[in-house]
Amino acid sequence: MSGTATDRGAPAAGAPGPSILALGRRVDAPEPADSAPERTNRRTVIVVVLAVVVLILAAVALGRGGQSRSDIPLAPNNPEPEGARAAAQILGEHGVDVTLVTRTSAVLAQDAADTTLVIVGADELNSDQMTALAETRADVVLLGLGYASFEDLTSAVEVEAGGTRAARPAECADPDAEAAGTIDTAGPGITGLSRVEICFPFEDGAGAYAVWEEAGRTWRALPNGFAASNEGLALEGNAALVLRALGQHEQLLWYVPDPNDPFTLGDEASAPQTFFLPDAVVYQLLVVALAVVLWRGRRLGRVVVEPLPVVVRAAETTRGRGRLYRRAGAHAHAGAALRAGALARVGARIGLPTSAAPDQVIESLVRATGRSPDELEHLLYGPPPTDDASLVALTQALDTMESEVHRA
Amino acid sequence: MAISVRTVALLALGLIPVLLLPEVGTVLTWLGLVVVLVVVDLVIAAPPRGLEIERRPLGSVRLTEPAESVLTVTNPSGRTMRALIRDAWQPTAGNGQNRHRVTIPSGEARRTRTALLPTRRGDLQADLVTVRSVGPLGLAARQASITVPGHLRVLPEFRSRRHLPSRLARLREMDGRSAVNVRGPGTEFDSLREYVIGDDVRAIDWRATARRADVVVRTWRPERDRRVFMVLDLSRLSAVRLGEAPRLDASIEAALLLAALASKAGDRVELVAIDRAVRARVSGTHGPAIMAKMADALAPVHPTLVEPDWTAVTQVIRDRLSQRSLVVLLTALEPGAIDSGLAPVVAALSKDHQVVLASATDPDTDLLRQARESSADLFDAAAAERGELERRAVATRMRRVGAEVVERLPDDLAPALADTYLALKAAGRL
Repeated sequence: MSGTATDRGAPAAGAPGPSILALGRRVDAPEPADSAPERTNRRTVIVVVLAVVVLILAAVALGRGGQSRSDIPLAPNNPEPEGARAAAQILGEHGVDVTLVTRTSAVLAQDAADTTLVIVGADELNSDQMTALAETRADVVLLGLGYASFEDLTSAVEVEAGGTRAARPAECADPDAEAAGTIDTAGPGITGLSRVEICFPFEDGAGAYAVWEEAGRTWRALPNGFAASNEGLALEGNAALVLRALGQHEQLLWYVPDPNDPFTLGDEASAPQTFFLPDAVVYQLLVVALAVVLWRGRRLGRVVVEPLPVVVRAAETTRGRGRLYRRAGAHAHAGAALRAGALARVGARIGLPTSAAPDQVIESLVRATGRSPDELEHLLYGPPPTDDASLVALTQALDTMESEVHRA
Repeated sequence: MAISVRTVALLALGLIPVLLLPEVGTVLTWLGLVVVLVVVDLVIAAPPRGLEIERRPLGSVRLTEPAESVLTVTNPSGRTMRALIRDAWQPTAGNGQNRHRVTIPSGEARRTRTALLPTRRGDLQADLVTVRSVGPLGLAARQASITVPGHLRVLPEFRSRRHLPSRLARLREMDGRSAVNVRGPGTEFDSLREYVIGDDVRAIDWRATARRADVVVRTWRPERDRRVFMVLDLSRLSAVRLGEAPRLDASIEAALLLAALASKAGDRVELVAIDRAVRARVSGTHGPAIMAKMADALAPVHPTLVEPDWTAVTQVIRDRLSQRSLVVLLTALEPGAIDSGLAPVVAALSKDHQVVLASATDPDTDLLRQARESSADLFDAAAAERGELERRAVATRMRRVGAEVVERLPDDLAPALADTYLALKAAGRL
């Protein structure tokens, strides 16, 4: 390489001095060689790219498996004020195994007797999902309820208006509620059949918390999820109520419904007919896609470049000059040039010497065109044009005059 | 290395076991299997770097005529090579199908032929020869790019040769006029012969007649062995593009036609291509050989983006010419020519030689001058008009010192220069 540098730096004695060629490379410069270090470089780049691809794939794989953050309210992995990561973490520290599930089929698959199932926003499930979930063996906690109907899940309770946010005493016989004492919450509230224990009542009789037994399982409902949220957990007795309600068993299924869950009840209600690609197939497709990239991406040799000639058109300078006239608004200047040009051509046609005086020119042109001398004098030696309109008029007049002379 | 479509298909086939057993392990196992096969294929494939590739010299070809690039590929390795070979040339070499699938048994050689149809004058360079050696399974290939130097010299097209027959006819007419035995400008003494009735009595050579019994007359013929010295300007203004080609190409066409004509007329032709230094030179050749030599010398010259050095040009001319000659400057006549030092040089040269200044003009300028679409066009037209006037003033100044100025559109320059040469010859001004 050092030899090449010297060659370029100092041309040999007797050779023509340095000059800029129109072409990309000097004629006497050595051909750039496809040297070994360049190849090694290319190989390094390939290795680095492959490593990056593998790392990205690994990160994607880990991200899918691991508990990443979410921004769904009352999700156990949401650290925002309306999330519920605090509650989930405290439960986890006290030996409760919290599992986040997003699909009904997964809930049904992991359903067991000594398990708590938290359903966030149960009223937004479709009837098939509700019917399937009504049959679970786990104890159920309905966390956060809207005014939509959830009759297919349970008909024991209904959501009522409730009241504004305030600290409310338990005023019921449920041990969890009694342990909590007072909770800070707001509406909606809940009412139910007589076997339903309503706690923390609002002014209209509905309560902020309900407990009942149904089909051999304990059901709990906390229609306003504020008490379980990161923001509200530390207020009054909220933490006591929520942790006791959710920590009944060592297994806790925290079901945050996915609105795109394709779950439907088939002929066999227990067999969830879901269609989604297994991760392994996705990975295999990725591998195939990568192979396609490698297959199509490898060129047969480098791209050959053409040492191109100059591409400046000759008229560029003329155009530049015209633009200069235009920007300066040099109507007079342009008019003078047009007059002189027309005169030169006409003069050559009728045999006038270039040094002819104006009088002589007009005299000859009067003979050639049959126009009046005044008209011609105004045209050729009159006042210079001052705007676009007068320039256009002058040009048209000159063109007409020229054509008359050529016809003559 | 490179993988083939078969590898992709094999990986896609892996979807079947993955669907049957949807585990990440299945994916990895299948991938590992394919990788092993690919590696095995790569190892067995014949090494492309070991190939011996020779390029047959291409010589030279006239622009727009086809050429053929032939590679002889020898496989010295112990394995049969199945390869895809790409013989790459720079794009203007016009290589269509330059990929060749060849199978070379061990120790044998094969030839590949790539058709070229050059679209540009000059020395066209061959790029790397790329060999992709496919393994026996056809899954993967080893690839290497090998430097096999080669170039194709593309000579100027000499499109203007179609004007040659008519100009040669005119030249013969001028020759024929010598039969009239009129002494005049542009003729020189040829021989003595016996007087026949009808000869001009003024042609009688009395001294020769006195030495012999018969009356003897002198005969004349057009001047021969005059020197025509062409200077091809390679500087900045020759790089300007007129229509589709640079001005230099029009100048080269004109130079070739003039050389063909002048060498047929018996004059001695010399040519120098120059920017700030002499880039090409043709001298000391006579007769038909000069055309081949000129074409060869003019093939690789290209415009350079430098100012012309007219003092150097004068020096070169002074060094080469002692007697009065025809000096043809193939350059650009621009309003700036006065500043660039062309005018004083022409004036100085005109004292000792007949100078002809040939310049190709821009067809676009004429269109600009006639543009009347909008008021903006009028300013362009005015600028074009002004440029014309200035150029005409320069031409007038050149003519005043005795130089001939030939200004034509690129396609008309060559015949116009030839006509000027014939006119000068007829007038005896060489």
